[in-house]
Formats: sequence, structure tokens, C-alpha cells
Amino acid sequence: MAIEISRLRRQFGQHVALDDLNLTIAEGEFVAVLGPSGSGKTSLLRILAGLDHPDAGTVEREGEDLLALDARRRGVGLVFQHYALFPHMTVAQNVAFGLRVRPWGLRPRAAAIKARVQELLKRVELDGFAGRYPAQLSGGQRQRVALARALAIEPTLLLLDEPFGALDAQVRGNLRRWLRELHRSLGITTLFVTHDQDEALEMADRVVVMNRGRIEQIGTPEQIHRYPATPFASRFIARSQVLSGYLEDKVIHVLGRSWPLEHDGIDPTLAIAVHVRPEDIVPVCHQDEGWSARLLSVRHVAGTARVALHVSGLDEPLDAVWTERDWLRHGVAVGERINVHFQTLTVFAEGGEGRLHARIDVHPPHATSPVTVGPWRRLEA
Amino acid sequence: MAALSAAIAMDVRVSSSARLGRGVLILAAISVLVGLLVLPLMAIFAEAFRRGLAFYLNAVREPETIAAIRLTLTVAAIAVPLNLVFGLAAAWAMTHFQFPGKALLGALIDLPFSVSPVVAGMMLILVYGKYGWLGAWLESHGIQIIFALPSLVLATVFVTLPFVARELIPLMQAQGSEQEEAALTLGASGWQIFFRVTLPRVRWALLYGVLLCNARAMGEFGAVYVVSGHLRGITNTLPLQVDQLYEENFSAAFAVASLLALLTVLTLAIKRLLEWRHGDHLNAGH
Amino acid sequence: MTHHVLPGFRLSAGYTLTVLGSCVLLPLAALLWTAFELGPSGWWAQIGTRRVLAALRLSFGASLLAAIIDTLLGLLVAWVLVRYRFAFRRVCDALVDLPFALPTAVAGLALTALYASNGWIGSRLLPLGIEVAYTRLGVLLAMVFVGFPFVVRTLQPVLESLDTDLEEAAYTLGASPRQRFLKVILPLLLPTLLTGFALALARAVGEYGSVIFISGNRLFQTEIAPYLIVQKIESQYDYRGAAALSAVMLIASLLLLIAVGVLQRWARRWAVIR
Repeated sequence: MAIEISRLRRQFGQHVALDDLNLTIAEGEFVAVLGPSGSGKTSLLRILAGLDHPDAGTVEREGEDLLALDARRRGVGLVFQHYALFPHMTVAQNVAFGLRVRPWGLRPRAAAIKARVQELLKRVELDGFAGRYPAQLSGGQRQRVALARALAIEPTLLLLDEPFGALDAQVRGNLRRWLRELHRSLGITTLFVTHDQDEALEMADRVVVMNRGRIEQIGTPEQIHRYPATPFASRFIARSQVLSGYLEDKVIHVLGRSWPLEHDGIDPTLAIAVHVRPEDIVPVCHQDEGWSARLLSVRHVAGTARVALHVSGLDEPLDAVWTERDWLRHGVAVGERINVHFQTLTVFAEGGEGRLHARIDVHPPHATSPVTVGPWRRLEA
Repeated sequence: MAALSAAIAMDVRVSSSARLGRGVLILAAISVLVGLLVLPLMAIFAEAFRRGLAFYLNAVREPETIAAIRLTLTVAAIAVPLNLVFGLAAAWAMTHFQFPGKALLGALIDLPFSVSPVVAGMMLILVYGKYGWLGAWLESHGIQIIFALPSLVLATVFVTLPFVARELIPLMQAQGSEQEEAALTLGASGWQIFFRVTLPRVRWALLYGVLLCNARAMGEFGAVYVVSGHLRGITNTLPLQVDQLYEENFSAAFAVASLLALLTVLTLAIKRLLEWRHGDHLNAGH
Repeated sequence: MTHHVLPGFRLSAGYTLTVLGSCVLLPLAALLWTAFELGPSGWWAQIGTRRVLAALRLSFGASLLAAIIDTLLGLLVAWVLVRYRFAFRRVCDALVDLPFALPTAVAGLALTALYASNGWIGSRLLPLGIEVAYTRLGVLLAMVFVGFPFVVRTLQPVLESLDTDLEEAAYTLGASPRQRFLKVILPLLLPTLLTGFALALARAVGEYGSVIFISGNRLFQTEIAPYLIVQKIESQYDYRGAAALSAVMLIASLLLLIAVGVLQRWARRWAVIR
């Protein structure tokens, strides 16, 4: 069922965990809340589950006030980060727990509970494990028991707290695909929080990027990755790096080159931040093009060459990701010089108070001829 | 962060029925503590001072009472250091080495906790008494143990044996042998390792164990009762003196008992202070 | 022979064994030897008398009951001390150790003074027809007193480390507060409760000082087994009888503790290692 969160606020002393949060989740949607630790994503999860209460704001489920319901009666399934399986109960007892604690009258008969547990265990591919204790299971198996336990109460909203955080890489990859499939077949509105960009971008229909209690950006994984809306999203999601640059008389200056801005309505006093993504720093063949750089190191990971470059005029080295083909074509050795080109620069204009006013993608041409850029996109930040 | 928010959420937001339930539980717990523990303690002081301060001071200054105090202090002064060394030695052996029978040794160290003090005294008589295993040999050498100071010390050592070791073993187990091994590779001798590395790390736990050991040593009744023969002014420790006075002079018994109760209160206060100031050095879990 | 890296094994193990040997092992051997020397019939002659049987029944019956009461009270107090914040919590926490540190004879005297017919509590209970001092109820009370701290002190650290996630998980799955306590918390505490129970039991069975004052030591009624041991030594110089009774107590306590250990294993059956 659709969930509508509006103006949600939660404060712990001086620390603002949630700062007037607005978010709408559509029926059956699979949403990832992505943010670093301390960004407020866990607070949001706990409030939705009924384990914590906001200082202000509302949460509605199809027009019904969710916050008025006690966690017991909320019908929200929560899978804890460390699973919180009851160690003294078998797998089957764990899964049946939510049904067995129902009050008389609402409680299914023992046979019905047993059948439901069987069905759920089959669903999470643990049919043979009903009699085991959690201590006898692997991490991935525990994860799935926790999921089956949360699903047993037929929740209208499923919450997952860092669902793959405690698993090793191999299991994580398999479980991601499996969970995606499971969601497709069940169609339960699902929200999961994570600090892992790849996880969020790979799994979710929509990603909510959070930082310091605020939503920085909401969008599909592709939107978020290609058009990060804020400097934070750009750094955190696209792993962008900051170049020094400034705005003067409607001309953007970056590393000794400049492009006139053919755009009106921009306050020339705004500070700008220029970001570049690792994959947008590409090698070029001609000596008179782009910027001169020295190759500091190279690592070959997963079909790509990850290189560290020292670009003249920058103090910090830049990371770039090239295809192996590019790498081989240019045949440069560590310590040698190579010319690189920035395919896309993202420029954020910020006021003195840190408020974001605009962002734009600049596509500098290979040569230094002036370009037309724009249009500026105003943001509602 | 999550833990903090959980704590705050659980603490602040409670329904009125939950608050009522909590109030009832707190009240019940306090009633248990007051009824079971505080009232008896107060009763001792109330009875002790019932006949006034002068009577109290007289009772406490009786020569026999003074002798009992002296004997109690003597016994503790011998038994507690013995157990201190025992605790350190046992903990060193138990935590730094693997050897056959280690589990058995651990069980033996704990054994005195589950043996009745009276049975402990009885066992000592069977070994060191006149008709005991070593009785004839001891008598021929002119050594008297039972009904004399040595038996009091032996009985006290027996009942307080586990105190120091029980404090040290879990702590040293949690700390592991790494620092000692590091000192060894740096060229330290055995005693240097012990005095410069191990002892500073366990000193508060050691003090804690010694404190409890001492309280029990000075207050031990059952085991000492059996082996002492309670000869007035000679083998009567303070608790035994209380027992004898109880038959004859009710209020005087309480006056002497109040001295021991005072020792208890003092012990608990120091114990609290230790836990408060050095709690992180006492428990393996923290 | 394994090679030890750190020095001091011989010295520390040697001293430990010397003290254990002279203070614990040798006396223990002497006791068991003396008891077994009697042979079955001689042993039964010592144990099978009405007086001894009554004392044994009282000792074990009352201490079992006392340990159960201690477990319930200890759970309550430990729960309140760990879970709630209230005025004088630290004082209450410190008080728990009182029976540990208070000399048993002093405790016995204090309880007697309180519960005697002219005592603060005794005089108020008398009109209700309840007599505590010099009855079996008094024996029970003294045993509850001495065993009390064991349950609280074993429970506290476990309660503190109990994962709040588990309770929250039960909450989101629809469990009521009562269900959360009975189905989640209590089963997890059970092994620790049994440990505390065993410790309280062991202490209560062997207790002498705090019981003999309030029990009044009435024949067949309120005599406890340790009191009989002392009587046999003191007034009858009956070392064999005392040794036989001591051995029975020792073995019976040992069996009880083993039984609790088995129960504990069962209560922890879920904590299996793969």
C-alpha cells in the first residue's frame, strides 16, 4: 500500500536525525534509502516500524494515520540488521512467532500456522531447516529466516535495515538478485536502508539519498547516477571529485581554461563547485588536447583500469576509471605523462549559506573553443 | 547512534499503563530490599544501643571482647595474605598455561563455595585433630592445631579460598597473555613481567577480591565454631564472642555484633567506591 | 609435556596445589575415608535415626524452597535495577551485597531480633497467627536471606547484555508486553536463573550461622543438618557420626548441583555450536 510521509522531524538533543522529511512511496514500490551512517536513515526506519516516535510530522498509509497505531498492530515487517532471530527458538518457531502471539480469535489454528510456515520456508528456500536453531545457520540463511519471519505477519510495508551489511561479498551478490526476484513475485511495498551505493543502485526502483536528516535527491538509479542533484549526492553516489574553479563575468574558469556562460539570471557572486566523475576523465591521443597529467598508479579491477593521475595545477591526485581497451590503446607506463580530457563537468552554484542554487552539466569540447552551456536548472533544495 | 535513539525512545515514550507497571515493580523491589536486608541491619544497631551509650561502650570494651577483636584481626592478617598469594598463583597458572587437569583444578578452587562451613571445620578436625590422620604425629612434635590459632587460620583460609582467585581468573582470561608475551620478547624476567605488567593490570580486581575475602574472613562463624573449641579470651573470634554473649547478655551480644555490622557497611561502601571509580578494571565483560 | 612460553608455571601451580592439598583435598579425603570406613550398616545406623532424617529433610526441603523464592525475588530485583532508573537505585544496588558481607552470626541475631515475638516484625505478625522465630518459617527466612545476592548478581550482567533488538523484533511481530517477557526474555534468562538458583541452593544447604539463632533448634522440628553435625562433635564427641552426616550432605549437594547442571544444559540446548 502507498505510504505518504510528510514533514517528519526527529531530534535527539542537539542532533537532528530527521529534518522535515517528505517522501511518498507508491504501492508495491522497492525503495532504497541511501546515506552515510548518522544520516537519519535508521531513525526513519524505526519510526515507520513504530519503535520510535517523531517529534512532528505525519505518516499515512492509504489515508490512515500510521503513527497512531502501536508497533504491535501496525502490520509493518522489519528485518533487523543483525536479524534479531530468537536464539532459543527453531527456525519454524521463529517464523511462526508473529502468528502465535496474535490474540485469541485472530490466531490461526495450529495446522494453518504450520502450513503457512512451511510455505514461507519454501519461499525463502529453507524447507529442510525448520528444526534448526539460529546458531546452526549461516549468515545468509539467518537473513532469509528473518525475512520469512517478517513476511509471516503479512505486512503491508516491509522494512529492511542494512539487509546485506553483515554478509560476505559472495553471499551478498546472490542474495541481492534473489531478494529482487522475491519482491517482484510478492509485490509488497518495500523500503530498505543502506550505506552501500552499489546495493541501492542495483536493487531499488527508486533511490532516496539522505544526508544529515535531509533528503538530497530522489530518483531512479539512473537519474541519481547520471544527474546527481547536489554536491553531496555527486560525491557520495557518483564518487565525483572536486576541481578548483570559479565564476567571473559569466565565464567559468577551471584549471586554466575558461568557457563563457551564455545564460542569464545567474548571480555572479555565487561560489561554484566543479565536480568530475572518474569515468569522465578519459585519455586523449593528441598532445595539444586536454590537460597534461602524470600517471601515478594503475590497478586492474573487474575489467577496468583504475588509474590515479596527477593533473598539472591540482594538488590532489584524481582517480579515473578507463576501459581496458583505452588503457591498452594508450600504453602509458607509471610515471609517464599522458593527456586527459574531462568529458562532463558538473557545476554546482552555492550561496554563502551553503544553499544550493543551481547545477549544470558542462561538456567541454576537445579543443578550447568557447561552448554554449546550459540551461541552468534551478533546484528546490 | 541507533543504540542511543533506541534508549531514548524506550525511556521517554511509555504509556500510562506501562508507567504504572514499572512503578509497581520498582516499589516491590524496594520493599524486598528494605524488608529482607535493611530492617535486619537496623535491628542490630537498635538492639545494640537499647540500653544506652554507656552500656554499649562498656560491652565493647570488655577484656574478652578486646581479646576477640585482637584474635579476629590476627586470623585475618594471616589468612587474607595467604589467599591473596593463592589467588594470584592460581590465576597465573589457570590463565597463562594449558595443562592436563586444568578443568579439575578450576572446580577444586570453587569447591569451598559449595561446602558447608560446618563440614569444612569437621574435615579439618578429621585431619589435624587429636584422633585425626595427622593427630598423633602433630602431638608427638608438640604442635597443636585444633582448638588453637592454626585451626582458626586453616578454617578461614578454607572458606575464603575462592574469593581472590574468582575475581582474578575471569579478568586475566579476558586480558589474555599477549602483553606478558610481549614483555617476554622484550627481555623481561618472570618476576619483572609479574610486577610490571600483570600486577598493575589486575590491582583493582585484586583489591576487590581481598576486600570481600577479608569481610568473610572476619565474619566467618560455622567453620571456626567447629574447630575453635570457643575458649573465652583465647580462641574466641568476634563472631564466636557474639554467639556466647547471646546466651548470657542479649544487649551486649548486639553491641559486639554491631562492630561486625559496621565492618560490613564499611566493606560495602569501599566496594561501591571501587566499582564506581575502577569498574572498567574489575569486570572482564566491560 | 607441553612447552610453556611464559615462566612461573611450576611455582604458581605448585603453590596452588600445596594450599589446595593441605586445606581442601586432604581434609576432603579424610572425611570421605572416615565415612566409608563405617560400611553401609554402620553408616545407616548413624544416618537412619529419626532425628537425623528430620534434620536432613528440613535442610534440603527448606533450602530448595528458599532457592526458588530467591530466584523469583532476585529476578524482580535484578530486572528493576537493570531496566529502570529511579531515585536511590545505586543505594539499592549496593544493598544487594549485604548478605554476602554480613557475618552470618550477626545476620542470625538480627533476624531473630526482628522476628521474635517482641521484635519489630514478629510482634506485628503474631496477631495474624504467624510465628517466624523458632519455627521452620524462620529457617526458610534465614536461608532466603543468605542466598538472595547470588541470583541478583548472576542475573544482572546477563540482563544488561540482553539484545534489545530481540524485544523490538517481538514487538513489531505483534507480541504484547507479557508475551515479550514470557516468550522471549524469560527463556533467554532461564540458564542464568538456574545458575543463580544453584548458587543460592548450595549456600542455603550449608548455612549454619544465620539459621541456628532464628531456628531455636527444636528437636525433630527446626534442627538443620549442620546443627546436628556440630552437636555430634561438641556434646557427644561423635566424630564418626558427624563425618557420616557431613558426607551425606556433601554428596547430596553435589548431586543436586549436577542435576541443576543437567537442567541448565537442557535450557541452553539452542546455543549449539555447529
